[in-house]
Amino acid sequence: MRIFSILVVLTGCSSVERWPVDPQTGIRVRGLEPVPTLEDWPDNPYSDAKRELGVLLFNDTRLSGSGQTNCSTCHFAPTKFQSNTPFDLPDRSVETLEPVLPRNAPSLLNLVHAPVFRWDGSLGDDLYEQMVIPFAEANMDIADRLDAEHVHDLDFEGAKPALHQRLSVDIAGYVPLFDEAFGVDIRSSTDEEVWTLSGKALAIYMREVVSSDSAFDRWNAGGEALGDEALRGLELFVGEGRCAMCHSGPLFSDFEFHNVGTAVPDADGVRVDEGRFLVTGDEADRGRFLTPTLRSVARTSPYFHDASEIGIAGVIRRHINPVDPLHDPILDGVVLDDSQVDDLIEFLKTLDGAPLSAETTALVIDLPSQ
Amino acid sequence: MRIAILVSLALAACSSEPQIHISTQFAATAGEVSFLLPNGTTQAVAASDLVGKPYVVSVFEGGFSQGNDDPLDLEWGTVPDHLTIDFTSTVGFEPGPYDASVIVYVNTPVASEDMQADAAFEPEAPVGGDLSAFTLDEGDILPGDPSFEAGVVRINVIDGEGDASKHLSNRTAAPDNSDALLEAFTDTILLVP
Repeated sequence: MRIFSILVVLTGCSSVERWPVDPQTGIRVRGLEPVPTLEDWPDNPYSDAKRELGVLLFNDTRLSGSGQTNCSTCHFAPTKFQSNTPFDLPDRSVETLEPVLPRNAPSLLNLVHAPVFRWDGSLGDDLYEQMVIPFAEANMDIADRLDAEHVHDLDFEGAKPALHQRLSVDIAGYVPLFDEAFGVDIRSSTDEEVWTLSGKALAIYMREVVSSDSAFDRWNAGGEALGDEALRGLELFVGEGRCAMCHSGPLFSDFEFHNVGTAVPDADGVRVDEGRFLVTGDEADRGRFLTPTLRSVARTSPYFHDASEIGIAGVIRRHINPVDPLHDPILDGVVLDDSQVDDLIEFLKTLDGAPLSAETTALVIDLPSQ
Repeated sequence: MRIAILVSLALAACSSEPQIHISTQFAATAGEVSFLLPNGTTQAVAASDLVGKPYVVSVFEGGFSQGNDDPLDLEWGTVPDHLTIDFTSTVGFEPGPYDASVIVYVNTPVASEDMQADAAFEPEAPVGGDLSAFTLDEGDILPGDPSFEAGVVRINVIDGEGDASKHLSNRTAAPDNSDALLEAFTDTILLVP
């Protein structure tokens, strides 16, 4: 027992010495900074009215083609604004269960901090636009024009006037809400203006969908201790595991595109999902996908663009055994045994952010009257 | 010999600890069972489509990480004709918070060899049309206990109070009735969209 106690003390000492707080940065691990404070957007300053409008737009099933779908259908608030299912169903497919959308809906946590969106980085880097694009996709298909054969199409031409019509005429209760939020009478606005204002309101709501203030952040700032397993995992994360070569920065993502063997080509060289290649046409981009943030990663199973792994252990093993010939060379030569994988998982669990408020994750909302 | 004694003592201790019971009832009307979807709308499924479908009930430490922590107990089975799944844990539980998951794989195929309690716990993530336990009610989170994730229900084993129970059913409500909807989202079974 006495020897055991000494070992504990020694381990504790070595951890502190290994990771001193840098007096200049105020943190222990350079490159893994805390999530920055989000400044007010000059072109869209915060107001409670915008926030409330954003919550309503996020949860109103009447803004879908079928009247059965809302943003929360795939970005389910109680599950960190992500889908816990491998593939989600497009609007109007609830009854037939076919077809399915091609990719797992990622968590919206920290989306407001991201410089690029979607698994393949498609459809631009404008946050406000990202917020409303699903109305034009099969996801919600507000114009109700995308059938099963067009499940991958975008219908901006139908969606923009449909959203305007729905918010200014069909559900007239939205008119005063837009007026209060933006000082605009949307009945005399253009389709494009309503489209953009809706995106701005949704983005304001997303400001509170943030994962930060994790146990790791507190330790990194010189505060509370982390367990020995987690500290060993951190050593691997920034060291021989090479995780931090891509999962770096405040959001644990370089926001680049990497092939980590998640869309392996078949015998004919064809992948089910070509990833970034679909956007750039660059051969080198085949099978590449956006590096996902790891904040709250232990709370956002399943993983990968196709949700093909339920547990982090499986994710790590896929990374260190990449079978795609185009896989990122960063992965070559990484060898981790089971106990090291367990340590990495314990470290990743320390990235759980502070709980979102009940107001943020509320599912039951009093919607505007028609 | 010493190990054998320790094991038998441990087993004896476990057997005297409270067990967890979870009853999951699918109430059918005119041959159909209605379920809430996460967005508050309702969808009916033919009762005959549920009978015989695989289910897994699993109990975890309170606040566990889905997909990353192993269950303390689990049971595989198929939905019986009477549409009620009665789970009783095979082990005892010390006082504390536990999170229970109930998944019915209506659409996800599950191989019979995977439906073993001692098999490695890597169940399929439910897909659209599958069913999952769900509650919005956080009243079961006792002071100081961890919160729980969606897709599970909290069950507290209280010192001196014996076995702990939870009843789940396919509760529904009109989407424009907020109070009823909030109640229906408590200890319910959701249809995964």
